[in-house]
Amino acid sequence: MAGLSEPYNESFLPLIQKYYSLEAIAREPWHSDTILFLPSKNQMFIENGGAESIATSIYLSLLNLNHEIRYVKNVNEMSPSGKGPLLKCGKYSIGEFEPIVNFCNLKGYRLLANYLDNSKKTEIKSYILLIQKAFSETIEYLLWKNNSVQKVIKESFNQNYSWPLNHILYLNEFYFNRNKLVSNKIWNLEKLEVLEKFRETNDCLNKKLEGSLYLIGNNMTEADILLFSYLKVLHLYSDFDETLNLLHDFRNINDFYANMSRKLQNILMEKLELN
Amino acid sequence: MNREENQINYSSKDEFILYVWPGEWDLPTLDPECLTIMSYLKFAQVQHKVQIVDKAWDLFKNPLPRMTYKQKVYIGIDQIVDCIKKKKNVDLLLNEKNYPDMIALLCLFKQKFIPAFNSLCWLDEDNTYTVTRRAYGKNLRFPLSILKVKMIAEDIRNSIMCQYRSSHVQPTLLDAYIFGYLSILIKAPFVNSPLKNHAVACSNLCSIITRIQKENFPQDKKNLEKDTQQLKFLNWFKFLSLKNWIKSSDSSTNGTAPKFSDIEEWEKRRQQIIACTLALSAMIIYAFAIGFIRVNFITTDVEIIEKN
Repeated sequence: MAGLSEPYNESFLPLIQKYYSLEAIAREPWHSDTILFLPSKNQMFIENGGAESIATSIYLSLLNLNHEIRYVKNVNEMSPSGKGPLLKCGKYSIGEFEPIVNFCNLKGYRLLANYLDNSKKTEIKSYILLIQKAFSETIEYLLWKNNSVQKVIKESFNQNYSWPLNHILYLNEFYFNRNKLVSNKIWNLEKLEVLEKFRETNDCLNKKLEGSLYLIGNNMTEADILLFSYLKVLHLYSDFDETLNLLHDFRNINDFYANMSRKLQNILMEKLELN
Repeated sequence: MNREENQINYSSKDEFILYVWPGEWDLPTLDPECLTIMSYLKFAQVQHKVQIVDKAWDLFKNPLPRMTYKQKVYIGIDQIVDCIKKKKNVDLLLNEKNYPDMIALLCLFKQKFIPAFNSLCWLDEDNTYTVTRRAYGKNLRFPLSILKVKMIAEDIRNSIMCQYRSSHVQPTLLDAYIFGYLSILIKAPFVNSPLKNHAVACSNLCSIITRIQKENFPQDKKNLEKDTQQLKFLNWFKFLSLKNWIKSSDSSTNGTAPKFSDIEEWEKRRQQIIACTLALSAMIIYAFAIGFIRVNFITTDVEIIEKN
């Protein structure tokens, strides 16, 4: 993939092969002053409800990797990939959930499931992408194509930035998200069609969870963490109630959510101050 | 499950008619999306008719792949697949556990492979001008070809900036996608392609593609005849060329060269001949115009001759 143009180097490994030596990363121990930058709390809502931020923090806590959480206004501008959350570990700064997972794996920190079965890697990766696509597209559609939510978003920009900047940044963000949804052929769909797509994906996940506690195998993987954090976000904000209503019939997903929230309650309370 | 048992017959009124781009590189169509849908329809064992669109204006104006069914028009992969699924769902043949895996792998393929493939075809300048643009532009007439190809490239650039066949017996939408994109990647003569080298190295993928092509899209006889005619012409041309006399020993070993490069060379030669004839005719016209060549018609008076 070395010869491809810049946007394809979105996952962490190709990027790192280009700029850093893999051995050097693997050799260095985990820094004690590692910082995880998350978007500020009133900005979280715009960033897909902060699902990836929650997932990253849970992932690092599960691996017992010490990290300090700092809420800042400009994570997206700080991050090399243009999106938060941002992990600053020693001289490396890595943005987004999946690249951070790859970075930790490179250093030898993995969840138990990765040790037990190496062949499941592709499966985990494809489920991460499936969950990311289905949930983030639906949430983005509900955020940016709904007039009442737009008022809330504008308000949050007004709180964070002073006069001309708040309008400029809001329009910038709006057009970026609109173009993204247009190119994914989501923007021009009716709300019911988008929700139907979302329901189909969740039907798949529901089938996959049949008779087991986790998505892949008998151990918790990155895909489970991501799915849980997206479900948590849907429970946190009342604007996504329609999507939650769709999930009522999926017994396996609801059981999964209840089980995971029982297990991760401490982490959520201590690190992210979420109930 | 026996394939023939699944065959569904419809009356000719309710036939699916699929409109696709014309073929290229030994494939039934040159567009990956069209190829994906064609193979999916074959997998689904749905009776359908494939209509190759070869009118320049139609190609320019209407997006492809397009399907008409019961006087309704479906455009793009998603709409067509939704429509076919209502009639007959191939994916339902998978069991409860395999279906989510297939969806997840399809998602991986769509998000990781297709953008890379599109950038290879449309954003890498060497490939775009020598392979992709030429193939798409060949079927459109001059001003339309430039406009349409630009539009496609622009669409792909926008979508990019913003953002194996599986273990079961029955082929699915995933297989259709893999065949649609990878076959073009492997068959098209890309100049610069790290992706192609990677794909060719995967022997399992290559064998799937050749098998799917053999099973579902056997080559047309007409095309084969055309190819043999081209080859005859090329051999005749080679016989005339000086290289043949000088390196006669080399040519004997090259006699069994693959058919594919021969056809490519034939196209090159054809272009050279057209260029030569154009240049010659221009020179002759110029020579006439400035009076360098003159043709005098000598008229003899027939009556005088008769009298004498």
